[in-house]
Amino acid sequence: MVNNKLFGVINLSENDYFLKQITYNRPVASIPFLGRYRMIDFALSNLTNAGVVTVGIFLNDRYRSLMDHIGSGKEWDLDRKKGGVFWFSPYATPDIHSQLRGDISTYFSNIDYFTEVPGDYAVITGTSMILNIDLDKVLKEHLSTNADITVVYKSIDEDDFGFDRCNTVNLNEYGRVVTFGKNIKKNETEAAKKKISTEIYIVRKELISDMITDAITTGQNIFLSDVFHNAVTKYKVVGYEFKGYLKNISSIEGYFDASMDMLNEDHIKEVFFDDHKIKTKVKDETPTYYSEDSNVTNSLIANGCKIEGTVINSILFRRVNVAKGAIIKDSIIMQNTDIRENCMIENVITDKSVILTEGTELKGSPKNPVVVGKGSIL
Amino acid sequence: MKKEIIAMILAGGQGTRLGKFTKNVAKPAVPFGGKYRIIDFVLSNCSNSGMNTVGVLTQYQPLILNTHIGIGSPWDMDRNEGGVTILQPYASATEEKWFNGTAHAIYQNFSYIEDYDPEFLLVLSGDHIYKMNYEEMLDFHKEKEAALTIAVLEVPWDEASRFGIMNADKDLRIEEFEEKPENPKSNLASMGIYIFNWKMLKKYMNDNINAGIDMDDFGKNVIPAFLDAKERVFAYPFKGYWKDVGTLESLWEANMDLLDQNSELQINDRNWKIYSKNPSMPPQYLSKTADVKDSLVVEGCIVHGLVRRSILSPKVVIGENSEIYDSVIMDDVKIGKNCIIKKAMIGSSAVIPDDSIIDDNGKIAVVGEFEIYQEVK
Repeated sequence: MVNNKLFGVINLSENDYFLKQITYNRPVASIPFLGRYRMIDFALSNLTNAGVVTVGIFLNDRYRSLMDHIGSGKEWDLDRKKGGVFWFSPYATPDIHSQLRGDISTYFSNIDYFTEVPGDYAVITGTSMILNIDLDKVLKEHLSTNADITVVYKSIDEDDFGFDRCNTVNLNEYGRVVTFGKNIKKNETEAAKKKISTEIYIVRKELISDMITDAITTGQNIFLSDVFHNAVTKYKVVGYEFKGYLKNISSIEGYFDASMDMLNEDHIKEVFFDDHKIKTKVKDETPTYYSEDSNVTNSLIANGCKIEGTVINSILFRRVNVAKGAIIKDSIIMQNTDIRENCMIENVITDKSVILTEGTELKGSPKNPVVVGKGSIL
Repeated sequence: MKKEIIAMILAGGQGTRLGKFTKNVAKPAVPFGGKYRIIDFVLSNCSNSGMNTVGVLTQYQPLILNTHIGIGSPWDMDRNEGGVTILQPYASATEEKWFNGTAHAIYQNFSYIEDYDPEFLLVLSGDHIYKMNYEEMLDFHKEKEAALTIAVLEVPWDEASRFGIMNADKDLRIEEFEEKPENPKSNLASMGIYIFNWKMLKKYMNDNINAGIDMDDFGKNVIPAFLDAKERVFAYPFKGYWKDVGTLESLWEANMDLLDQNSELQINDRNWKIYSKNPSMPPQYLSKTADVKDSLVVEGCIVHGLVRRSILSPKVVIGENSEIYDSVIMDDVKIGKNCIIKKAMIGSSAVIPDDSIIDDNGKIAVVGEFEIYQEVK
């Protein structure tokens, strides 16, 4: 399928206000997840699993780690002669539209991508959602409903607090999207389900070009997501219900919760053992060694670790050392962390390359895990 | 385009002594150490030694080996110039050219070597587990102004009669070569790693073959020819871990050696990584009932049972209440509930049903790839 109907647009304008402790030097797209992934792996894999060969990534800032991670796009088969990965960074020119607040000017500056890309329909996706979705099916429904814009949503229970501050989708009886809104925590529980936007849209490429151009010509200083939200009054916007596993990462609490939720065999199997694989950059790490003294239960452990201590209900990234006598409970330990003898940690997130010296004790709570910054020595 | 040195890896061997594991797979492609195949070691050595023009000679059951190597990207050998090339026997206008021996395989591919017009030719085996810097061996070869350098390993005296033994003078110049001698005069065993001056090798092989002399084998024919002609043949002493994994016992032992954290092999040396094709799988999941000790586990495994002194490969699933001891479990093996497995090697994609017991009373039990295990009552 050389000339796929779909092409990808990855939108990195994502709110990371409540993720600051782990997005200090990286965008949401680059947040390490579940031992060996980064958040953008879901978007890239979902796109390429649907046969997409052209992906444009619209950058904001702090993108060093992201470019390092994606490189030529080889892991996702995106090192192509036809298609491939295209990077678009914000332009810093004194041009009128680059002074605006939103990211729409970045899209407008690169409008050629939308007009020249082979492929008829854009899939616009963010990177803060964890899901394994068949985008071919979404396209089929987009075509059969004659929609101008299709937005993918998931119905959740009113008391599911994992999607705070996500956008909601409100449909009329014909499945048309009437309005977009914000998911605000409410104390009184209603019986009705809420529909959460996955921030995945399918739209014809001529229409997305027009919408971006219109936003610029009318002087709206907005984000691309606003363009879609405003479209409901003018275009036929239809919802597509995604019924699979979905988690959102928009706060430290949400990140912690989504990670811990993967310590369930059914969830791992649904997201990662599907025929559609979630791919990531590989690192040629050695197998993980469990010593005679190790004691590991209910945990996800990446390659290259050496474990001599106790690990319970935790996620260990690549190349983590857990020394004798150390106890790790309900924690997320990122790449290259060295946990020395007799440390005791519970409800902790350690960012990359942290050293916890002998006997360090740290304790957080599930609602408020202790976050140890990248490269710290405690 | 000229290259100073190119490497040729002999990977055509059938490896009959590995039994079920080489039924459909060439020996160098047999899975090893959880996430590797045997040939990854020599390919990674080449990559880490800066040898980036490598010919891999395949013959027996090459499909999986060829797929594994591909264009060589895991070893950084997807190069514009050189890189890795799979060399298979081929038919020509005059004859069919099956490889009759180690040297004959190289002889049949002289045209590949000629394309690079190298000064030196490095000849390697695809079925040894070791880490070695070939560049240091090349430096030694140049320093000795040798015609041929053979890497040697000191082996225990009582085992020396199993190897090709080099008798060298104090300057390491080889005076005599004995294949599996009854009464060895030295304990320097050939590792099957040679650096030749390419022009000299070409001359000896062409001259002798044209004269009707058998030149099929390096050990039997080529090395004796060099020694008889009093060429400068040197022994390059190697120190460190080296294992020929030609038998089930040695393959099992080499796997178990990886569990030794003080092993000289040190596969976790970050300056000498062993590269392989990596599967896209999530981290290994150890469930609430899992109990894993003294073992190596890789991505994509799901473990509910007990694992001791064992090696698990990608996508291995071990059910509840199952117990695995001293075993090597290759990729995609599904082990059911309540199984007991002792000292076994279980081939890729095999299925071990619930309540199976695999125990060959101290001998290595073998389950072949894709086999659905049935207990012999």
